[in-house]
Amino acid sequence: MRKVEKERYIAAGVITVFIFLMGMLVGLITDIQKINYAESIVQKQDVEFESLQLQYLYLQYLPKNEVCPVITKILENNLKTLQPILEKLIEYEENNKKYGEEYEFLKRKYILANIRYFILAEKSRKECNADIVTVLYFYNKNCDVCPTQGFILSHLKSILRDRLLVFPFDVSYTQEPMVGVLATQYNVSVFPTLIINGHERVVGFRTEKELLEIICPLYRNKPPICEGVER
Amino acid sequence: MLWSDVIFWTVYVFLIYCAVFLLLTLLLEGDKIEKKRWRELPGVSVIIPAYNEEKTIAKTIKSVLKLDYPKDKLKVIVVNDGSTDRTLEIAKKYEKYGVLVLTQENKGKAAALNHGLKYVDTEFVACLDADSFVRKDTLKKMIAYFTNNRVSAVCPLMKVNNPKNLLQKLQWLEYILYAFLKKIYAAMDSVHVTPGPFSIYRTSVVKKLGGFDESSIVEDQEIAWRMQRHHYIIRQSMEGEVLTNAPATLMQLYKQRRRWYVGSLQTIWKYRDMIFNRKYGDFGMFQAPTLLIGAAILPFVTVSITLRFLIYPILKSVWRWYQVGFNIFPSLRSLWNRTEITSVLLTYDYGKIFIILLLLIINMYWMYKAYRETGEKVEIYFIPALVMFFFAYYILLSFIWVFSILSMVKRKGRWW
Repeated sequence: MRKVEKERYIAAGVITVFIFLMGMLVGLITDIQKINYAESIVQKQDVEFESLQLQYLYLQYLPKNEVCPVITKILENNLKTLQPILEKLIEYEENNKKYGEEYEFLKRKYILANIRYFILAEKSRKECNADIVTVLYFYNKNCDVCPTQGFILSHLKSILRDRLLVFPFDVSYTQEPMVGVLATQYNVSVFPTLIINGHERVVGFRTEKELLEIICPLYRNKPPICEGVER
Repeated sequence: MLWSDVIFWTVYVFLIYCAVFLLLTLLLEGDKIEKKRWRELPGVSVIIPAYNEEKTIAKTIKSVLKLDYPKDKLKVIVVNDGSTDRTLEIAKKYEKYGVLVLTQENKGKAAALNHGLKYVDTEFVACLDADSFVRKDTLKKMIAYFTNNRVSAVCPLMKVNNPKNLLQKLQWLEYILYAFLKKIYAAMDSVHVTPGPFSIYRTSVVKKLGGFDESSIVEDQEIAWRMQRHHYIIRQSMEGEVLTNAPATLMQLYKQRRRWYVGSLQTIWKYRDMIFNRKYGDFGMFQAPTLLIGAAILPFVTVSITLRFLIYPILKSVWRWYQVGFNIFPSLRSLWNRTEITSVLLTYDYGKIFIILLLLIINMYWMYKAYRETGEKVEIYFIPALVMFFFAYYILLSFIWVFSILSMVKRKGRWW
């Protein structure tokens, strides 16, 4: 018969609980930091969105011959403001954390701004002869290949920069009806679906090479990556 | 909360509890073990069971003959376990130095040890695997623990002989850490294995217990559990060194560990009534349950966490980069241009990072103590070695555990 020192087991338990709580505390503190940060982004972006809306409104009052330079300027601004928000939003989503209502508002605003941005880009392409390609990228949460498709698109985007404009839309996000409207208009039922330059439907996964074969012929002035790419 | 979070926190709490418990034990009882000098050194027999060990047997026997110990007190018995190579022939060459060479048909190591045990008439008996070598002073240092006549077995400080490749060096480190761990186990009377390379037993105790269990594939674990069951005291020497050859390839390591791990599960199962049994003190309340969890649950958790959070993301990102021809420069450039560092820093989960860091620090302290206690110099490659050990080697061993258990289940053809 041996002795068991109960005190040692209890002491170890107490210390363990203490350390565990410390870990929880660290997690909690950083979570609060994260939420604060997300909120500060929301506030900052709010102003940006307002400005965007005004810019858009302003366009309606301009005579036709003055529209093009302003559109180009607005697109340039948007490239600076919208793209980083997109990336931040995606980062937060990937962490599977909820950032509350403010985050939802931000997301909806972002989607609306994105659609407006798309309309502008199309206008600039058609009426102002901008040598750009627009891609509407429809995906949903249950689609396995979509993250890879998105990855390829961001990759192309990082090469072609402001000459390729990608507008991603998560169709499983039903809080914003406008997404559904777009998806219905372009008759999207399979994911991923890409709409190139507002009319060409590309259904299903495409590799980098296949995408280049679709996009490259659309440029008048070929970017370097398009050399040797034929359809 | 995600299921993975629940598992993560549970395992975390368990590991921290074990670490805290062991550190407390170290602080409270680490140095209470007594050893004195013998007025007259007692007789010791060394049994060397050998099965197809022609490459190392000569060196093993020579190392024993060179022991700094009175010749008339030292008896060497080699038991050839039906070797099909030149083992017997080589052993016989040493008969002229007084080595007793026995031979039997192939019946396994435990049977060979029991065969040798019949010829033992000394107070103590040591077993020595034929792929291991003792140092000159090993026996004298170890036998000092038996001056306390309640001590029934002493384990050596096992080190890997001449580690050459990375795998052997990792094992070298593992043995060092393990030896230190066993020192603490000894302080709480919870040693669960008296390893084949040069553990020394009080002959009367082994004989009273009926010798080694010939049905066990890990007779050195089985005898230790049996001694614990009968409340015999086992000590761990930090001075008596024995060098053992470690597997050099992954496949050899897997074969060795499969025997150890499956054997340890069988042993735990055999003595399952000792788990959470207060009668067996710390062995029952801490060691046996911890061994069970470490054998049957932790490896599976580690493997699934590794697959989910390490292997799967790596494969995923390799697949994605493959899609774009591994051209990373455009993304790097845009990453460089866009991001404020805060937004990147805030994407990590600091609760988990805190834990992992804490476990690393505990491990580092552990390793530092282990180096000191086993007489090794703390070298500069200490930290990378630790990180490597902590991540890669532990994960590797977990995979070996899982494969071993699965192969055992498959062979038995049933789940139990």
